Amino acid sequence: MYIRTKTKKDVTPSKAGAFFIILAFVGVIITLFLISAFDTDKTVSQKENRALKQRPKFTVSAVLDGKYFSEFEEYYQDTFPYRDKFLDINSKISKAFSKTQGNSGMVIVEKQEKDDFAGQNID
Amino acid sequence: MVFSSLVFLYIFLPLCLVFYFLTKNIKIRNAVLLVFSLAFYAYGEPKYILLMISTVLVDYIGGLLVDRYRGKVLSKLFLFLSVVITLSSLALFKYSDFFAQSLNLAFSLNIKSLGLALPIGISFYTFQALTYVVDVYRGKVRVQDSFFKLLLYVSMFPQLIAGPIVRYSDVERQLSSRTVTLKGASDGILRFCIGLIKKTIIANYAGELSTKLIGGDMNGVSFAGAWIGIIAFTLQIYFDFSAYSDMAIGLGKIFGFDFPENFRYPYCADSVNDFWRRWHITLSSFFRDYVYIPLGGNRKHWAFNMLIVWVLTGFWHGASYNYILWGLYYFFFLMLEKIYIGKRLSRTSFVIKHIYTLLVVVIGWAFFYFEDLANLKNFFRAIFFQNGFSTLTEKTVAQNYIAVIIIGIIASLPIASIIKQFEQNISASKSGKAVVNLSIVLFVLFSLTVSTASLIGDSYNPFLYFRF
Repeated sequence: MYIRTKTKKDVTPSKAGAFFIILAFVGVIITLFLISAFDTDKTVSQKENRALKQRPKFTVSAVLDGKYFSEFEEYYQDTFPYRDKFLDINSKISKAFSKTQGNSGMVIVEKQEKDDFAGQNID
Repeated sequence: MVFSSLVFLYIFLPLCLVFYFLTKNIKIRNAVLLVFSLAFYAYGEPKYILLMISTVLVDYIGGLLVDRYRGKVLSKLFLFLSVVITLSSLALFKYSDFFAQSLNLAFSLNIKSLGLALPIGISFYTFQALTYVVDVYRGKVRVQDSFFKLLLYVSMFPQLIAGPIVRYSDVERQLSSRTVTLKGASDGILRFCIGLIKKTIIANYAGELSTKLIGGDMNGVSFAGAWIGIIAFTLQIYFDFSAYSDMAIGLGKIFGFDFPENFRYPYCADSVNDFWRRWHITLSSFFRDYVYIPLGGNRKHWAFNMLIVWVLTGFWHGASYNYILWGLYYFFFLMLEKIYIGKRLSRTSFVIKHIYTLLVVVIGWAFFYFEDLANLKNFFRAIFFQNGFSTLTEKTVAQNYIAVIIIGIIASLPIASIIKQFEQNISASKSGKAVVNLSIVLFVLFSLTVSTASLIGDSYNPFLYFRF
């Protein structure tokens, strides 16, 4: 171990460098965690023209058969902070890698039609 | 839970990091890691967590007894019992239905299938638990008095469900004393982000491509469709699996553990033998040290020992005939190289060696991919021109996904070492070092953004089919 650190001394990022790498990673995951924990969940996605999944009810039986967590996962994906921005990025990636628009590009909804959607008020 | 999920990245991991780094006390850190690891497992498999804990308990008690009666016959007996009980849970949950069906077919019996769901990670954690008790017997490691430390070793979430197969001896000391440095943690983060992007971009898109080309009925698939499809699967399985190992090794580093490497550019191998020294290294070395050598290794009936090892290696990957075929396929080529062509191969040109190895490996994945033997047969027809060169649909699909094939192939080459070399050169100066660090920071942010975007984008894929 001693020898390795000796020979590799030039490759290692300086302490400050390591600190910024850690800060970037931990900063992003903690910030998004906090935003997702404290923001108000949207109930409807205009982009996809559908109701978003809401937080499932916590019951012991739902936890034991694994249903709670799979529903929670859907809910979390549906209400993730900056979701629409991430969807835009995803459709760009999708276009580059599979020449399809991804999903967000598929739904085109006229403004006047939105109001009736699932009986919910969108705007 | 899997690493490439929003819940892991943005709930589990931040919480775990915060609690872990609240204190430097190793006992508290171990407790935090254990609680989070059990939660990680229970998240998907609340019931089977008891199975995992019992497996560890068996090998914990086994280790104590093996140690107490060291040198006596009883020691061997307790080792035997621990191994049998540990493997019997694997046999019951993973293989019982396969055996029942095989017996029914062979003797026209009517044994009912148990229909048990496969506990996540059982193939990995049973092997890990075995390395402990066997190495205690061999005197390679000291007996572990603390059940919780042993449980932490087996259940530690970075390596719990898809390897690498970390041996107890790899982490024995780190369970009681380890330090996390800034450098270690930042290296771990970089490694994790590399894995994240490999999985969410290359593996997932290559997977889409292979499913589109060879995921359905193979009847009528053309030459080009079959080849490009299996090449896409070749990329998918490597990037999926090695990404998981990257993320595991990276997370391990963040928490102060050194896990063994699992992949070393396997598609750059220049013989089949070399491929298996580069592919899923911790599994092949497990079979070498815990099956091949105990059977007699090279000294006694080595060919038979090889046969056993390769049937088991195949079977380990899944309870289905095609995996056994896949194992036997490699047994054939390894024997061929050992007995006939090995020496000649090493003397032939660089190009021929690589083409031969890649052909064997890529075609080998067909045995792995097609669980249905009729599809496998049709695949072989297709790659030998039975259904024409290509169809318009296949051509369009392949053209649409061309980027992932090109990037996948380039990323299978040892570019990391080239980048490292480059990094080493420019790091000599102070400003060079700053550039390197800045690019790593940007890469980390890029990887998180792109992976998060594709994880969110995936989320409503299934809904589309319901809605439109």
